[in-house]
Amino acid sequence: MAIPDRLTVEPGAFRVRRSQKPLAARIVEDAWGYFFIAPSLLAFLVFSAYPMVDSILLSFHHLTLRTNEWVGLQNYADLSTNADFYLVLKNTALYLVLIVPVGVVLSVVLSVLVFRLSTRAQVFFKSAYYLPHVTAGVVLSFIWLYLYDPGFGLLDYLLQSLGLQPVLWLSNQSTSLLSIVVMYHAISWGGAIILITASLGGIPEHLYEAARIDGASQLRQTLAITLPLLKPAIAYVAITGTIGALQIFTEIYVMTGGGPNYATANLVFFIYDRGFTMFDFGSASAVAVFLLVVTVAVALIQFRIFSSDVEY
Amino acid sequence: MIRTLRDSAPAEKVFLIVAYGALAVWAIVSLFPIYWMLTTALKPASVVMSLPPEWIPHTITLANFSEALLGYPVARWTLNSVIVAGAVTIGQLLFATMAGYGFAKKRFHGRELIFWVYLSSMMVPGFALLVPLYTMMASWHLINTYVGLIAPGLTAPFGAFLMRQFIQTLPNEVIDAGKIDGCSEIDLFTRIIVPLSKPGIAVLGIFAFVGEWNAFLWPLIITSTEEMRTLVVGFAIVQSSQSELHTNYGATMAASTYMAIPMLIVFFAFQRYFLRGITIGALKG
Repeated sequence: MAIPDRLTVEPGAFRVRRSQKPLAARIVEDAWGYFFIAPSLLAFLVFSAYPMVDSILLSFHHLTLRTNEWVGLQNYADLSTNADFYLVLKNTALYLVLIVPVGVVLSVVLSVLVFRLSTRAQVFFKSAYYLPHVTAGVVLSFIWLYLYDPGFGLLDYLLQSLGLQPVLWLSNQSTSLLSIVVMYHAISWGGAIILITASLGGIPEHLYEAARIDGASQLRQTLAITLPLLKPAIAYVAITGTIGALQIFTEIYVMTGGGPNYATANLVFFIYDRGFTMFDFGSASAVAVFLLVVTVAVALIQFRIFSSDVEY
Repeated sequence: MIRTLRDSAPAEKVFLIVAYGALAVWAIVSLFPIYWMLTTALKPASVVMSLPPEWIPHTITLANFSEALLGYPVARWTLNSVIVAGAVTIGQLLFATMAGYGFAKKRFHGRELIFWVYLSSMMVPGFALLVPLYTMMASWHLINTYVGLIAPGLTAPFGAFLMRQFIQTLPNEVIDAGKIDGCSEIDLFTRIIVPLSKPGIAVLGIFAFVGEWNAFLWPLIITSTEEMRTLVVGFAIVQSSQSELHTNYGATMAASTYMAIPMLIVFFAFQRYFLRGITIGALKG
């Protein structure tokens, strides 16, 4: 869920400065350190680290409820000729492109606006934007299913009151993915706004004063001071936003079931479908490994784009 | 930086009006669906299924709730949700506070490496682990059990990270003072660190509980009988079994309200923890 905004750990930042203690004392110190992290580390090894390795191993197996045999790269080869796989890849890319840039711009703009208001107004708007985050994805999907309903939904009612044709938002192949994207935007950026606003509060006022004395316009101040100093927060929002957008599932499962004709299915829905409706675990694992590689690759590219040392 | 309408220059006034307008529009986008859920749940079925819509309900009824809640084992689902969310929260709090203390205040070999691995693992999509976790649970005969529902939730690198960030801000002097008073290592943790970490623990506890209450994917996969489902999974399956033409939105919104209300109450009760908690994890990195 979270990655620190300082994307690189400087060498030496964590270096343990050891006093010249006797060996026995150091062993005891080590032991207590391990003691405190042991439960967390054990859970991590069993439920995160091991499954990650296992995922790669399983992807080389033909594994279903009944069979389990080593098939080498067969699952990957099958994927490369699977038309649905290319469709979900295309859809996943569409989700990313339609969600991440828009979401980042939206969050930054709303944050800059919120930041100018009084504390009370800030609390109101931040809470309003955050409310969907405490509401279950299933609940939000139910609500939007209703809003998008062609018979009783508000959206088509509003279109018709304006004299426009109603739209089959979710059941039309050409609008279904976009409808999920719109809904996703409506529920997703509260946390980002709170974060960026907090980060705005960390920009020293004297920078703006200096800029004003030099006669810099508001726009110039925003471009030359605000945005560069917001870079770590923006990077954080972009990367977590990407990871989120890659993993949209509940909304798709509840609102469209991946349809119509797989038009809204993405990589993670494909994993679910292969693994838990077809029970082809080997193939699902191959897709999962692919997703892992894509996620890491996209995140690394973003680290590269955003990484720079910001000094106040 | 705070300016109000009264004491601002004309250009600034225009800016503030536009700003309020844009913020209000987005607040409506964010809040209206929840308003619509609450009000629809209280409308009679005939009103829900007719147009033009009633923006404010004229007559209020609980009929949707009885329809949504009485036909299914909702009491059991609620109990399951409470058990799972409660157990995961308690487990995460214990594990994460201990680990956070270890990472923040203890010195041991491999500390930075393990912490770095934790941080990197937050990037790993949960979906990448789905199949191996499922086959693991299957081989341990934990499919469709509480242990199976709860166990994977105990791995929480984010919690450990959040608690480390918090505990790091506690002065070392209090720990040294405790040592001088003869506290054992366990005492230092339970009597000094835990009480001082309460704000951090509260933040993590709230996030963990809300997150688990709303969790969908894992409970969907690991449960196989109706009585083991959690609330969100139970109602999601009810919904998906209805045909598209016969969705009873009044009942669906009543079920949604039933699921959402406890978390909305948690949110308003702990509002400032939420607003602060989000920034603890991310910005002090």
